[in-house]
Amino acid sequence: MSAFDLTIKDLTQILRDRKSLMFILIMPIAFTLMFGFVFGGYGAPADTRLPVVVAGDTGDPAHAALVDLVESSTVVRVASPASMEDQALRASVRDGKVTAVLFIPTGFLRTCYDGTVPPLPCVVDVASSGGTTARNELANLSTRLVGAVRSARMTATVYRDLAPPSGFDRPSALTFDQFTDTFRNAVSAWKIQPTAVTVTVSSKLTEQQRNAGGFAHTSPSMMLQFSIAGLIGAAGIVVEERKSRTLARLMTTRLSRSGILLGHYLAMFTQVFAQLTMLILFAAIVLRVQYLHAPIATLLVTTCASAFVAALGLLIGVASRSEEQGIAFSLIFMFVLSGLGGAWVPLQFTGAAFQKVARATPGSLIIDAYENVVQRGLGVSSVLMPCALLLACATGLAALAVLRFRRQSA
Amino acid sequence: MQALDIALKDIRHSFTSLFGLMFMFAVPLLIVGLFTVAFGGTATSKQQTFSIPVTNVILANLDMGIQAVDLDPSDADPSTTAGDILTHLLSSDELKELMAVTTVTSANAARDAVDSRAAQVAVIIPTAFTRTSMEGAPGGGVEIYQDPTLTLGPGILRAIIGQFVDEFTSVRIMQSTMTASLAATGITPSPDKVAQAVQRFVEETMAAQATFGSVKVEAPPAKQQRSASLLATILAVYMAAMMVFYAYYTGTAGAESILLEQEQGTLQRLFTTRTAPAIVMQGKMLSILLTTALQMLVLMLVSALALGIRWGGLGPIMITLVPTALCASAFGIFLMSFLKTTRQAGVVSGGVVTATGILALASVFTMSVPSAAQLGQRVALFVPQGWSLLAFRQAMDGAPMGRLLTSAAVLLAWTAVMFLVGRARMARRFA
Repeated sequence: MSAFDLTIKDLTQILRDRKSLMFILIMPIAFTLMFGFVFGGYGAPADTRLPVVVAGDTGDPAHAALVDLVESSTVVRVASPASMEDQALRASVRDGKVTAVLFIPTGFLRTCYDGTVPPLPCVVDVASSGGTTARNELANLSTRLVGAVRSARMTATVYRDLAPPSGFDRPSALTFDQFTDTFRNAVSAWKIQPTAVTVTVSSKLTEQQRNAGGFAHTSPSMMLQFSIAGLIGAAGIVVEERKSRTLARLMTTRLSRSGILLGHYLAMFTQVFAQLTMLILFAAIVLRVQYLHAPIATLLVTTCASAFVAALGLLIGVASRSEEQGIAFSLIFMFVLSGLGGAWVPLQFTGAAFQKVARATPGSLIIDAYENVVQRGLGVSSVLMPCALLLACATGLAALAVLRFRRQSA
Repeated sequence: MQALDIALKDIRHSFTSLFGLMFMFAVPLLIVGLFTVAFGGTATSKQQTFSIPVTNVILANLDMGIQAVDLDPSDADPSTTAGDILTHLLSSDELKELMAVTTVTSANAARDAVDSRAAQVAVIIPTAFTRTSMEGAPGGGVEIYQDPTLTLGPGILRAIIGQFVDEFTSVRIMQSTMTASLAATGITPSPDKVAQAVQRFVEETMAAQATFGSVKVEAPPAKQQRSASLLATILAVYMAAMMVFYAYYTGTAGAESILLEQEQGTLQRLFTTRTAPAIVMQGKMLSILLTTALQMLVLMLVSALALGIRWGGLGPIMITLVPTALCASAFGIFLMSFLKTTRQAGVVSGGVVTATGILALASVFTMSVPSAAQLGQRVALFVPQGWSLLAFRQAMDGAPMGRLLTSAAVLLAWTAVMFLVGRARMARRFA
């Protein structure tokens, strides 16, 4: 009996168990589709801007002006709630139906004309990321609105200073109508300003190729997560072998301890490699994620990622005393490596110190290497370093598994 | 009484297993602890904001300018172009915690730095920037060239540059609208008068920028008593998510003892006594219920003390915790009723708990992306874990009692359906 016989036995066992196939293949595809959809992966969604309501004194010229400004925003959009009643609007923010409500106080522009610029109440939950984003954008738009008010006020001030003494047909101060016209002109002027900032992206891929949208991050993330979760079955085989004393019988054959471990390792490697390959092909063909843009780079990352995950599986299998422990360890590693790797919350949102540590972890290396191909459009040279580090991690884990196995079977 | 004995025996078994204890308590806390470090502090720490990483910016200022005078006398360095002022602003001490700026002399060099990942974002100020800023001439927009995987750093830069350009634009708009309005009344102000007005306008605008402009932020009704920061909210949601995930795992692992006892033959021995299968099921359900309830109570207590997480009032906590413990128990029994051996249970329960758990966590994964958050929350409600998580979030947010009771009712409905199906299948098996 050789190590390869053991590999073939393990693989047959995995293939016979249709439930584990569901876990290895169907679930990651389902979750990639789901999270890709949630993150807007099916092309450009209709409107991803945050819904906000401009309420309060709807007859005030400032209301229409603010609605105009919000409609020109790329961050927020005007929502039309069922009720414009104050309490109902506040409750709709609490319930997440709208992100924010900005109120124009009664007689806002008249109060500005009289000399005071009242604040604009904005109901928003700043303890949510959407709320914070909406608050910042509404603050910017309000600054434009109030800038227009100040333009009108400044006009009124200069008029008062320069206008000749009031006569029969000439008032000594700007009238409210004139003030309002100046305000409206200032707001309208924002619409015809040249583009201030343009954003371009560093990528060797065309915009059309990068259209995989939400899938370009979701796909590598789910592949990482479910390749580790898929170890539940493979590691379970090693545990079961020990519990059923098949291992003891195996030790009586000519197969060495290293041979036994190699056999299991190759089975796990084949399982993870096949799983990742199928998921990559699905993402490339169906979801148009650009894995095949640099096939050699993709193959290299997949091979090294499989080597690492299989080594992890081997260690879990050897270290677990029961199948329950095997599941538990797989889930812990799945959570920790996926979390640290940025599969759930992209690392750019985490603290600087954490980011430095997390970027050196295998999960992050795998996701980053795949993103070099599918988002940045880079080739083989961009994945060499992460692949080398993954192989080093795999070697370390395999060495730990060998040590543990030797101690167990001594 | 017999059911209680069975429950006590199982509970004793659960709480004397070191591995079980680690998985029930240490792992969820460890994972949330990891995220606490990730986001730069606990919910009670003084700095209740994210520690945003510094963005490496490479800047090419190509602005040729149109003015021969210093446009920003307040700055020690001479600024003869709007590009100079923007460069000084981005390199200023106020922004050094957000970005580290390096300058180059050409647009290509800036783009190359991003392509080679030496920098994350390039800011290219074009030759006509001053002309565009001062006169509104087209073609002078700032270009932000960024790594495609980033949104946060480029987003901050875009906001800062956008605000900077807005200041110039508002002055220009003020000047043109004032001149036009006065002209309509037959008045033509002198250049000095216009300059005075501009000066005053700039002073007023800058004074207002000390806060969020003219916006006065108010919290929505239910959240007024709890002025939690974004950091505290995220940590609390992560803790709730991990707690719910592992509570359902405990429920499943607890129910697996039915299969284990069946395999070991102890269940059959139990049936030879006068104990009816229904009593055994009740005992099992009770033990899982008490174990998960205790697990959640301990996790809530420890996370409240160690991480400063505020779980809400005692009433809302109980309305959330009890149905969640019931539902986790019924979930375990329901799942085990479809399985025959512990080996089968290993892969299937691990898979189902993970899959349904991840579905429930959709609301957590999408938190950082406002446009996806709402859809993520809806997706999570397809599984009981999603309802448990929603109930805990409602309790933490101080949501109205009606909403909390609705979530609890849905959880109880899940419980009833899963328990009845599970019990019927188990009864048939042991009949």
